[in-house]
Amino acid sequence: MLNIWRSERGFSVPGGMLAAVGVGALLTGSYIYSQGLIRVSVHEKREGGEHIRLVVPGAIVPLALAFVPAKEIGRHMPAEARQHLPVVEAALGELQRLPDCTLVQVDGRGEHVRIRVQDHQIVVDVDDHEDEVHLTLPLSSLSSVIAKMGRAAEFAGSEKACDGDVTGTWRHAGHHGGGHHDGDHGVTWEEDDDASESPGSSSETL
Amino acid sequence: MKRLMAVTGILVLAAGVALAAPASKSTSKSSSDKWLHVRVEDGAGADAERVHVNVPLSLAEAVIPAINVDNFRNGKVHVDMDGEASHLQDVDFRKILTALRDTKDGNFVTVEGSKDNVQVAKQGGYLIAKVREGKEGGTRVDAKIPFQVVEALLSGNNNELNIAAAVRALGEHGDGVLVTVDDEKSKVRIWVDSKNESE
Repeated sequence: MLNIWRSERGFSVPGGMLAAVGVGALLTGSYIYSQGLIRVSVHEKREGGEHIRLVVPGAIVPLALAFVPAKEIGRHMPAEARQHLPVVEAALGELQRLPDCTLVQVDGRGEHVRIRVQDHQIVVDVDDHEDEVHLTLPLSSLSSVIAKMGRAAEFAGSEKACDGDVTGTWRHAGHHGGGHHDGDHGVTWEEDDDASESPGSSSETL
Repeated sequence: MKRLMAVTGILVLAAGVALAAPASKSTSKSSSDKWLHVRVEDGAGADAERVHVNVPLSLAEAVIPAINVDNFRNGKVHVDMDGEASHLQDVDFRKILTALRDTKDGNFVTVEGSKDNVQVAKQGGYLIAKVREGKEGGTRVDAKIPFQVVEALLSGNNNELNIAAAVRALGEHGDGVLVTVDDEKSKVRIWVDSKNESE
């Protein structure tokens, strides 16, 4: 009689499936671990002050962003955000290549600020008279956010173009044009010939 | 059934490799980058404030061309010659720079006043400026800028300062202290080296 639950060599199918699920869980776990954790800790020093702690796997960010339509983000994106997006994107690309280091350290009387890169995460520590704030952001999670915002800005630009109220559009690298390009980071701002306003000032009507 | 298990195993492993790929990619370290360090110390003793900024020049090189705000566009600062800086319109900085570069080392400007002393010189490929305010304990400013950086800075149009090119030139140049400012209360030091921490 054929036994589907056990092969001739004594290898059980449920056992194999369990092993596969185990390996899958292990790999998923290592992926989540490799993407780092977003940690936020805010401690108000005043009496009865709040102490907020938040730990979220960085891998959730791209997953969560997948459910938010870029078009919708673009519609509500402030003009300043669009203007500074290429700068952030360029900085992020370089930050991901950096070894562990301290970028900024400020030590004053009762005030300490430290911004550093550690294990491909941005770590911000602020400790002053009133609050103690610690923030850890995996750079890969930030990249996901910025990439999504880049796509959102593209939508915002094309929507404005449709409205006939545009002085520029966001385009991904690879397209041709004489706009300002941010190097290898994939987003380009193109100004129309007759446009003299900056991207930020142009989109104030958003 | 064995084949099915093998296929499942391969698929799981392939998925694992694909998922793990971004992590292994992100572990690549930067090459021999130069770092710009700024250290400011204000005050003394327990009340002193210390600011340390360490910026990889590669980061500055990448970010500066992406900044497009007001007069700072595409890595260049546009100097408004018609406004407050209209008196600069008649000065051809490039010609002055070329003349300075082609001359031998020496002092170009020496001002010895009753309170302040200023000295501008060329020495070993560097433009050197020294300012001394007051006799003793006054402000002391020393700037030692490589000529190629100054050249890069003035490589744009007449009314532009090419910051991006200057940063690039700075990265190509060797390590060294660029600016030091000392006075009774504060100290500022700006330098370039290959270390990612200021000491």
